[in-house]
Amino acid sequence: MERPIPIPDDVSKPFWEAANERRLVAQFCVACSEWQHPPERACAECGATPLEFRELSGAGTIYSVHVEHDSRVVVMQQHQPYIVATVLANESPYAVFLTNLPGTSAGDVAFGKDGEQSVHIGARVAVEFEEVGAGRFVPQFRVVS
Amino acid sequence: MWEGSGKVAIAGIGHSPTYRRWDERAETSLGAMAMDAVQAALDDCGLEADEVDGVVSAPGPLSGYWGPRPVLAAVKAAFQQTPGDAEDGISKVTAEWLARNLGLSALQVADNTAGMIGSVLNHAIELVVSGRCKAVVVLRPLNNFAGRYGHYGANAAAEASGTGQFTTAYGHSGFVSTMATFFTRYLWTYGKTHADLADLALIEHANGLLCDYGYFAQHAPEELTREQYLAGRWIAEPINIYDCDLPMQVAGAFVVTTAELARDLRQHPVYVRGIAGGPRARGRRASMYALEDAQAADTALANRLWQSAGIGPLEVDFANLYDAPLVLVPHLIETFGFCKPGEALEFCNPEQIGVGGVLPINPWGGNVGAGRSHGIDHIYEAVLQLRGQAGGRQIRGASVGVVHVGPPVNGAAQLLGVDAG
Repeated sequence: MERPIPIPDDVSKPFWEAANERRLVAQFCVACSEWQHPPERACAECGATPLEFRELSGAGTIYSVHVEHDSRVVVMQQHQPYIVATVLANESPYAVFLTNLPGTSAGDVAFGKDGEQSVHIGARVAVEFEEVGAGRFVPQFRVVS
Repeated sequence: MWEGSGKVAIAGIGHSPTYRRWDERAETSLGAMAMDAVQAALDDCGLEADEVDGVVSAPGPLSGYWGPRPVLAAVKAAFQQTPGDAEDGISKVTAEWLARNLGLSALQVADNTAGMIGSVLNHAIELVVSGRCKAVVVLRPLNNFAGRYGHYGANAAAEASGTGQFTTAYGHSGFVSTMATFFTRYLWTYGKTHADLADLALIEHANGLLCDYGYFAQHAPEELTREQYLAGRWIAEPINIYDCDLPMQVAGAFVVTTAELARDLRQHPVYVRGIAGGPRARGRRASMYALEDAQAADTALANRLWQSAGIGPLEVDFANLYDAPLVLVPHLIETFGFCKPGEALEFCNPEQIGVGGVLPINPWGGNVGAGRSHGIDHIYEAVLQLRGQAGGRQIRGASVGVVHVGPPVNGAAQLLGVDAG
């Protein structure tokens, strides 16, 4: 899937290096004993630095979801309609990831409690990695039954 | 109670005409529209330019939403330029630009803020409460150029950097995407569907046709039917095009004065009885606007507002609640305590929230019904209603109104009244 290629910065570099090794990591604040993702310079809650990058299991649940039909992200318009789901890692509700839910399509999404579709809030997901360039990967999540 | 309650008033209001796009003439430039709106606000209350001792502008633009464009020489020549800033007066209007071009000679304060009009108005109110100023002009100019809103800059890049590494890279499209995900969570939590939003949408679009200063009454006075609404094309499902506010070019201005000065001016003062501001997103997952986080934050914001005024939700005659996109309205109805969590979509029926209803909401149509004013009109309409000047939209006996402008968590609110309390 052609998409805007993420450019690591000094804060996110360990995250993308791990992703390129097909590992999902997130920042962990030792002071709070709590995770946070996306990464920031300091713990967003207590301000502690530095933060450790630790490996996550890659399992999570869908917090919510929507479908883009008229996106402003120009590179992604060719894929419309496409899903953007918000996933919370099993380890923490503060480790928050977006995903396009590979293996599903827009018609699979349940909005509210109006359907039997496979993509719904609370559905379990597992991480996988999508190659976006030579040796470069971005995390995605797939619905697991 | 807030120490400033009843001591400050909105004394004057001004509004430009609306345009879908700038047509690149000097007289319809953002600077010209801002001057028109400010002059209208001064004329409305009868103040002279040299009696204004403060200006606060939310100058715009929403940077990066439009591509680069040449600044036409004829437009530049029509106004005094701010040194070193060719965009001023075109894509934005700063306090400095306004002071130069309107001849505001007695200023003690000239501030520009990045906030929306709700928080900018609160800043002006605080300037008057503190005694730093007696008469402050509040300005919000809003531009809309050729091209598609937001299809530029970082959104058009082949790479995703900064926060975009974790959002744009997955095609997340900005605030409407955030609100779509927010609304899915709302629908799921309370067992609703998008179609349950139809009554609110139809009420706002119908109210908008009664609003003489709004875009649709001025340029596209066509009724929206339920069938059209339900068949509306999705922008970010579950948000469709009729849940979104149409971008336009507009400017609005307000004159905020001491209550004492306002009583000597031309209009009946609209008193500021209470104010509250959002805390700005902070803490873990702050940029996510999780429904549960926003419910806690906005309930707290509403409680600060009620406490500052010593007035509760049962004493309010109408509510102008931010509605861009429309899905914010049920969230705000609930967090401001007008009904219980999960019940707002039933609450949004004509008998309850229509102009003749028990608690009218957005009687001029909101941004969805009257065009994207980024909250200018939420305040402008509240003043008209409290003065009894809202024409065919007038709410009978309106004496206390609440205004909320902004996104979840980061909004700002005012409680306005006919009486000082």
